[in-house]
Amino acid sequence: MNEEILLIIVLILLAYFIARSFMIEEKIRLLRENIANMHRSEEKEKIQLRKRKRYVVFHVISNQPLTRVEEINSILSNALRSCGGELLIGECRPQVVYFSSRRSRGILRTYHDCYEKVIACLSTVRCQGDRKILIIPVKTTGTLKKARWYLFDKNLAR
Amino acid sequence: MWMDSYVCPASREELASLLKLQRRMGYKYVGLCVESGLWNKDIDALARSLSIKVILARVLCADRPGEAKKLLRERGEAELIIGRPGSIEAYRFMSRDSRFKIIEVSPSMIKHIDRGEAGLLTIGGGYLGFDLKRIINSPSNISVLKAFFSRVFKWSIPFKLYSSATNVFEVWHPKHVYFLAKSMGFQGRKALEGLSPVGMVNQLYSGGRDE
Repeated sequence: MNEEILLIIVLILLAYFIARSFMIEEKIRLLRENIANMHRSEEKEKIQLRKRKRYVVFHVISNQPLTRVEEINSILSNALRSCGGELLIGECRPQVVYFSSRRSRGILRTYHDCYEKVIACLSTVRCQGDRKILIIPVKTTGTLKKARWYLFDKNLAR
Repeated sequence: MWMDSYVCPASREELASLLKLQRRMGYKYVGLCVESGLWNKDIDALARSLSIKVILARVLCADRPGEAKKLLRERGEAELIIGRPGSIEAYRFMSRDSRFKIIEVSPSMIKHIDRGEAGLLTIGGGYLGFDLKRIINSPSNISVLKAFFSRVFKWSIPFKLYSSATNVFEVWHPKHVYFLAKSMGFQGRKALEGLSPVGMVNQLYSGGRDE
């Protein structure tokens, strides 16, 4: 009788240890998968070289009419050069992608991590040679499509 | 709803165009310099039509407390007095005197403003002021504005920013101030408190600052 009870206990213990070893194996497998996923996402982040862009819609007030995109671009680059130097121009690479002389509004493209610096530099520009100028940021968007929508918006105090 | 505490245009046409632009930018209170002598019924009517409240302001520059006292007696009809101290003694006098609503700090004065000097402003109930035209004249003064912001935010000093604009091209849009502060590493919303009329308007028309 005692031998039978002992055998049952041994069998129960054996079953317990076998089940536990399976659970540990499963846990190790999950851990390995998680580590592999982490490495993969880190590699992806390294590969992501394309920086996100920002489109700044701006309004220009000037005593002489501005007609060409090149004029605005030169004003912009001069402003950034005086404010932050060549380093800021290289970092932000601001570019006027559209300018409407009729509405005195334009769209400026730069990167998402430095559009604040670009707008801050633009706020210090009030003259360019004989020309007096005031550049007012209207809206910052993530897509060109949405930026175009704000070209028609007459509100400056948004 | 914003406030530009001091503008000083040269002609009535400039003032009219300046008020129109400031209204579009969201300004509701504009401090007009008394010395210009531009305030008349036409401008009053224009300001009313634009729903802008024009406050007569005057800048008093003094190097010594005695000089500041003398200038205060001759201040005329100005409602808003901006003190421009040339020395630390004049700053101390102006900050304790409740007639000076704003005490402007110059680049040479900013290094003298410490916790003790800032505490004097609570006696007079004034605001520390910064003239944004300094940045237009010389962008290198951004470092002075940074020192100004770091002091007012550190010790919770009430402050005001104003344009001293003589024409429409010298006006500051609130977004300019916001992004300037953000590019310096401060909170843009906190910097916009410098353009807010809250507190100042109550102080001017009811005799106390609302907190």
